[in-house]
Amino acid sequence: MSLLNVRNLSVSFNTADGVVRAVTDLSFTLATGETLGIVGESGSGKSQTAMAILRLLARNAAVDGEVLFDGQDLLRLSAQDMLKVRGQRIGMIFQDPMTALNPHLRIGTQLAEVLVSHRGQSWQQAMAESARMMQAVHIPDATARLQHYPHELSGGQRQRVMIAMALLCRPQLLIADEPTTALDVTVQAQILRLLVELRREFGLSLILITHDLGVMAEVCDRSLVMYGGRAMEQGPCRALLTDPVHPYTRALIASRPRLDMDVERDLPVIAGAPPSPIERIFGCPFAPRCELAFDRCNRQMPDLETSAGRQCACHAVSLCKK
Amino acid sequence: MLRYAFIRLLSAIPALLILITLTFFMMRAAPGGPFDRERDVSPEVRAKLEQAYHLDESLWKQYGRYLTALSQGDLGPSFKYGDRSVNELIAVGFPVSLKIGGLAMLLALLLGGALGIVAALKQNGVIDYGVMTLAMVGISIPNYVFAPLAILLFAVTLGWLPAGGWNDGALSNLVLPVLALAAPQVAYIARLMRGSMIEVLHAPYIRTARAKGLSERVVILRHALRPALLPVLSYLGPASAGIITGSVVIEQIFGIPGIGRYFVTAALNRDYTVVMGVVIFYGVLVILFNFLVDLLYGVLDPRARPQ
Repeated sequence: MSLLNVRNLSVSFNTADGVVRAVTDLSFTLATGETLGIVGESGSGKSQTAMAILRLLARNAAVDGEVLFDGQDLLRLSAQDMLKVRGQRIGMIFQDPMTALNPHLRIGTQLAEVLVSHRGQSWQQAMAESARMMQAVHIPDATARLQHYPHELSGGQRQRVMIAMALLCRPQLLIADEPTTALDVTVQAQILRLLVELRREFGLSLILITHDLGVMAEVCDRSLVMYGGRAMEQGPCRALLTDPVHPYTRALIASRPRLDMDVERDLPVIAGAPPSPIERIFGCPFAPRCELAFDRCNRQMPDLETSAGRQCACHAVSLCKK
Repeated sequence: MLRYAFIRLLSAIPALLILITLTFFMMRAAPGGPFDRERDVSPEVRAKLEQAYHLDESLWKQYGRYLTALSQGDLGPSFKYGDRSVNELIAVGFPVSLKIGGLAMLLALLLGGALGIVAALKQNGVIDYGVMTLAMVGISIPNYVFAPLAILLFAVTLGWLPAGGWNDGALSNLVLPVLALAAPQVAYIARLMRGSMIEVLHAPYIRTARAKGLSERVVILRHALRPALLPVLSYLGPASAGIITGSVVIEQIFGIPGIGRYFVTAALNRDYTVVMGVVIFYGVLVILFNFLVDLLYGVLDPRARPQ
């Protein structure tokens, strides 16, 4: 059985300007021990999907669908029961470790409080265990570091602290929302390597949200490509990168800069801009920018076609006809 | 740390000097003198009086004389309360002023802070709008309007509390002046606290705290309260100044024998030394308070600690 089964998830926000649709009718599964990469550009709904799973969305959010975690629908849990899922069974790390840690509290406090809250441990016990976890994420001088404040650590170390914090209660699932985007390239590689190492060590299932195809290629088993709040294509990571089917995935992969390319002249870009989330879209959200689009694409959202472990939602191309 | 404190206190000296100089010359620029209201003073007596208090000397000489005495901690004699020195007047009046001022500050912090937090947590709810409306009213009504209205309601109509007087600082005599003094500060702090709490609750680290599965109580008390208090803390300097200026009016209205009342009387009577003394005393107080606030800032925010 899959660990996580998201079914027909929709997220919208009621704002003064109207209803903003962040995610529409999104379904995916994650098997135990698997790593799923969710890729898409800014505003494609990937972060909001993660926030919806943990029910951390802003108050004006409306969520529909099911999020089955270990057979339990998280969207129907009481607020009290949800506290026991967050941080304990599902850990989450965020994009910017500079702002994701509380600048006013010592690192040790921020780590240990997780164990104090969830496990009922004494602060002393929790501190000792936190130090061990800091060692597991390769922070030197772990015990001394517990006394430090976040601003005294480098960006990479802070992200390690975030990861340690998320893993303290040995969660089954770790959601990493752009964990390397705010870091230097060399540090990015270290953090990715750490995630791969910890995934094996802790037997984690991992959802990695990223806009970086390279990051996804390095770490993920399967990928989900999102655009305009919808799933465009899903499949094994390698197949998807080497043999993309959906026009959006293809355009995305084609627009990656390469070293042997004069980026100013040759870099292909996808013409146009992502759809405004406030407009009600009935067809495929990518249709206005799609080279293969025809009338039907603007009128009707294509169904997800499934074939041999891959899924694609497009009127113009088909997994089978390929 | 000690070095920082020392430098800060040292930098207060020029500020005080400017304050002293401005007050000294502005006082003297005001028309009239301390003995204008005495009736039937013969020119000889008047000359003697002025000589006794060195008022016959040039302004600059008087200024120098004042600074010299001040450097030894002597604020001079009062021109009006014949046999008492300004130091004595402040020593007698300050405990009274401190009591109502301190209580007003405490009330402003606790009540204003609590109201602000509740309003922030119930943002855009009935309680929020209620608190904010009340705060708007509190800020808009000056204390010299609030005080007589409060007296009218609680003392005259309802008869619950005395309309004025000190009565050795009995609780019932404290209630109305403290309320009148605190009201605008409560209102201001409530608004400040609400705003900063709402802002902090949107911070990424609050999202992290929630993602860790911490209860809402822990999220607010451990993670949000401290940073949300920072703007309130920096307002405490101006708040102390507001309470001091407020006390000048409130002590007058309620007939409370604090230094604020001496100050008003002294200003009207051109009692130069008392005005000077009280201004300097208030100046030192405000500077000290701001210094304390800065130290507290470092306690609340590790990034603001002097290296």
